[in-house]
Amino acid sequence: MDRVPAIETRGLGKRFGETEAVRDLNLSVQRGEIVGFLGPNGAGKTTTMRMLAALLKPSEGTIRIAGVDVLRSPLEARRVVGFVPETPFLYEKLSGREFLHFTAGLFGVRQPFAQIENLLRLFELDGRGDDLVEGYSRGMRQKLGLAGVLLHEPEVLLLDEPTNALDPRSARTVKDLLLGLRERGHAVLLSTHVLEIAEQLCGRVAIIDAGALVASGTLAELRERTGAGDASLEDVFLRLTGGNEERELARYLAG
Amino acid sequence: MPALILRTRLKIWRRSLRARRGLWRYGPTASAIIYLVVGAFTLLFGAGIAAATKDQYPGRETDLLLLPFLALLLFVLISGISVALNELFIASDVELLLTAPLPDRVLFALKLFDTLWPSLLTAAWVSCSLVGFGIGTSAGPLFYAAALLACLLLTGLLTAFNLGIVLLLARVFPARRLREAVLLAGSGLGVGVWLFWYASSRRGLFSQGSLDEVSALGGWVRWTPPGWAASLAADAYRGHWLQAGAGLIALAGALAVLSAVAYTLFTRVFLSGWSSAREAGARRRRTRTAEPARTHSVALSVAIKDWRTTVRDWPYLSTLLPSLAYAIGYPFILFRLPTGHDAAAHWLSIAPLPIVPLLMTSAPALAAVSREGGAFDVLRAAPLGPGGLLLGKTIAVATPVAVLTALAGMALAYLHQAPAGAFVVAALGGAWLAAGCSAAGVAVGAFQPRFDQPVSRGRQAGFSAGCLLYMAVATLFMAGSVLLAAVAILTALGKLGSMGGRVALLALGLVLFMLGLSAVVAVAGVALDRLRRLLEPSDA
Ligand SMILES: Nc1ncnc2c1ncn2[C@@H]1O[C@H](COP(=O)(O)OP(=O)(O)OP(=O)(O)O)[C@@H](O)[C@H]1O
Ligand SMILES: [Mg+2]
Repeated sequence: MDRVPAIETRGLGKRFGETEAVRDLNLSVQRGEIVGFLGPNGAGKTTTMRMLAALLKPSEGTIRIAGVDVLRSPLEARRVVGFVPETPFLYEKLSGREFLHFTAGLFGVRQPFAQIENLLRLFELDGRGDDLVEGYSRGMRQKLGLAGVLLHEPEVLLLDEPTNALDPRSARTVKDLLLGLRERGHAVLLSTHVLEIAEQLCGRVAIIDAGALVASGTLAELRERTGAGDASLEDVFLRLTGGNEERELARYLAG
Repeated sequence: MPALILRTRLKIWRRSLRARRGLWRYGPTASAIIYLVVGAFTLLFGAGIAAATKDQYPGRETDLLLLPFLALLLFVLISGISVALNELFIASDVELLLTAPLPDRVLFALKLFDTLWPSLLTAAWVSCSLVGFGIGTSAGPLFYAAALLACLLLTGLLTAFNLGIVLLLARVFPARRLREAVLLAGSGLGVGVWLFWYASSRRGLFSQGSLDEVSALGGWVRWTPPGWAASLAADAYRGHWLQAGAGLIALAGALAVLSAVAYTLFTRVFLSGWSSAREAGARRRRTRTAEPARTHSVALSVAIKDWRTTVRDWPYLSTLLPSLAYAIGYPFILFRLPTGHDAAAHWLSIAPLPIVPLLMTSAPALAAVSREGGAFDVLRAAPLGPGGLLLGKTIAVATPVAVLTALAGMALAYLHQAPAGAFVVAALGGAWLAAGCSAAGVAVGAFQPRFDQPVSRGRQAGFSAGCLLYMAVATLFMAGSVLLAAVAILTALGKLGSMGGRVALLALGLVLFMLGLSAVVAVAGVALDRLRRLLEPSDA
């Protein structure tokens, strides 16, 4: 059972009309692993995650989540996947606490009450749990979306820039939480532009550019591949995604 | 700069029109046609009334002309306030406009234009009745000029007034909540006026009595802007140019003063109102929800979520309120117990009951799936099947409708002193009809849900194909049940004489019943298929 990868894509591709958002992507994430999903804006990270979460239909290729073929049985896949988009889907007219109870009902979580209170406390939302979501800040929304997903303890977590709007304390909470989940054998695919987070959390990173995977492996492997010596992940990232022109442009703009 | 903004807006609007698919592309044309038809009808109506009253009540032109201007006042004040709130504090382009280096006067002019524009449509409609008046009384050409000018000035004046009021109110109350409250109050008032109108038209609209009521009202309205507008038009009709000039000066002066006040307020308080509108929205629920000891099923979770979000969503509630009021109002206003009281007549009191669920269900049921809007992705990300969703939405709509129908039925029975049996039939039968109507409506609403524009009044008002389909299925569903209940009641009363007739009616009822049930099942089947496809991974 444990031999089956938590996430496995084969030749995954997605076209939006003329745009090829993702092409021929082979990605695999094991249980007990946090994989960083990096790439410049518009590289196709969100598109990939939406396909993994069975929200978007791939143009070609296959996806297996915990051995389940996502295209053939999307409902079953959604049962084991937790997807937190950049701006979580929430109901403005529910309170945070009510939203979590609703999610518990949707996912058939038994006895969710203690769990909900724990999550609210963990994300420091317990004081605002009875406020309507319409009054939440961006970071609060992100935390509520994350809490909603953690509620049903999915085997596979897909997090799209989860620490984007979070204050340092909440970001730390999320990091600790993810490490805890990894210990318990969950698989996490995490997209981020904050390379520090990727360095701290991710055993492996996958770098995607213009829809195609340009590199994947541990940080050490990537350094070796790019011949970057003991460079930071930032240097590796820029080298792999052609960052030198940008740096020159920045120098030019600075005068 | 203003030209650039207007051009950009025009471009966005054209794109959004072009992006429409299928039947939606004809939406604007259809509404234009409907608007023209309503305008033509208003014109004929105005001409007819004017011609009729001209001979009957000569010299009452001011009273008669007051009516369209009062209507304009009512419409522009009610709709205009929420439009002004929206345009000033909520509309999405304000943030962008504020970051651009626009002078105050340009921003004010732009917002005045945005607020005026919807009211001008109302003004054009009211003008139709004025033109009708002119035709009906064969007035001279200057009457038309004066009447249209009065209409335009009054609209501008009311718009400036709305802007001023909104600027003042938003200084104190958060704009978003204010707008919700205005929408709700406005639709409540609209329904009240309509029912009053309807009830009074039963004793003869434009009789001497109702004209007297208007002129009694006119006594003090005379010194307000609609009164000035009416007298401007009436004096122009009579050829009293001096008085007409006075009315014109009063109107134009008031417009100038109100605009100046609105502009001053705008420069003083707009920014602070704007920032308090940003903070708005945070509303604390005082009571903590008492949690039951078990988890709800998927369908029930969806239904509970819908109930909670519905009662808190005042703009959405305001779209439901009219159909709710008509549905309950009609059977009470329409129905008169026939004289010659025997037992059957008392039973007849619950006969208009099917109207209640039929009218009440259409708006909430057809919008049930659409109103998820962008949050539909919450449901798509969950392991939720089409069956659970359809059931949940149906429970959400059917429960309140069933309760209200049962209550309305029992109230009808009580009002007409129907026997005890009628109460039971009203309660149970009403609930059954409500369930069927809700199932049909929710299913039809799932055929082509519009998540980009979840709630639109036009869609609910009955112009859509979905609404017609719902009406057909729901009527078919109710026909069988009602016929069977009628046969049972009449048999119990001993009113159905011959055995043969009884059997024939019973058979017809059963056939209709099965047909209606299959129609509901059929639309539910189509809806399940549609929802299954919507919940699956999508193409974009
Ligand atoms: N619904 C859509 N319709 C058309 N094109 C789309 C759609 N969604 C994404 N795209 C295109 O697909 C490409 C990849 O977009 P995606 O959102 O996956 O990028 P991303 O890696 O998440 O970027 P970012 O780091 O900015 O979030 C982009 O070129 C984008 O324009
Ligand atoms: Mg993205």
